[in-house]
Amino acid sequence: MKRKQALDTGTIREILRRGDPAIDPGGAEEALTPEEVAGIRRRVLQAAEEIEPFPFRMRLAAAGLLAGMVLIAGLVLRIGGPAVHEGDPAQTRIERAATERGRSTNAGAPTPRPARTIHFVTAGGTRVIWSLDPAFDV
Amino acid sequence: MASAAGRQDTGERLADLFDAYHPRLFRLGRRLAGSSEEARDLVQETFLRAAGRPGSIPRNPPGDEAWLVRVLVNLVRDRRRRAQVRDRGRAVLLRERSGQASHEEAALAKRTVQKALARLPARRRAVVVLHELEGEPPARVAALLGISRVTVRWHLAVARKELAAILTEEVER
Repeated sequence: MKRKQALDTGTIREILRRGDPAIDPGGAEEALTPEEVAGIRRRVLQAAEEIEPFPFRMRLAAAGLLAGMVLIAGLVLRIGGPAVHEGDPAQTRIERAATERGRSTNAGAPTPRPARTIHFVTAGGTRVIWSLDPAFDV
Repeated sequence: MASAAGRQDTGERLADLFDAYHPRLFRLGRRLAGSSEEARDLVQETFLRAAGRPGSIPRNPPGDEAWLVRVLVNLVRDRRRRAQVRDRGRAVLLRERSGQASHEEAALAKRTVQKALARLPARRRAVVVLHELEGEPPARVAALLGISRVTVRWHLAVARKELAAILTEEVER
């Protein structure tokens, strides 16, 4: 079986440099022509001119979103503070059992209306739960 | 008004970057790609990307150059992936045609090196070109490509074995 002799690092380097793709067969370094340079330069600068500044639009959108959130939060705070109710998923099993026990001992008392909750997820992925106080009356 | 001033600033900065780095990026593109036309397209595409994301280009001189080099290397890699899918069926035909080309020694050497480099993975090819052809030390190659020195040395060691096999194969053909 014929075994190939491996090329050493120096030979590989020499072959690579002799056949350098950036050097033309005459030994001169290949380069862009002045026309090509001018053309690319013009197109790049034109593109930079046409591109609208992204951060400004983003800042505007973020400001609008923030203003909306503040408005909604203000309205919620005016309506009333959060209250735990029987359907609240945030309520633990123990709390739920305690609520049930309390309800059975106060069998004679008028049953309070269940609190309503509104669940939603923001664009950023934050889960928001609003609890509406049933005792609140405008 | 502020955005117009910002655009002007971006334009000036891009012009400075273009004037400073286009010869170097063309040379790199020429060594990584198959032809000078492709290298020219790579230079243009790199600066168009820069025009689209001027805020992401580092302000300091070695950082901005590294950013541009990385964009160009990634473009070569993307193009190569697309070309591999497109040209899978034409590989045999191209090999036959390339055998009929000029017998001039310099052109043959160039073609041999180009073919050998083209067979290396894009990242490894970039490491070899920057170190062996552009003479950059491993630390600088690492900084330009955003990889560790150990990775650069590993790529060089593997590339030497691969190139030895490829070049031996090409020379014997």
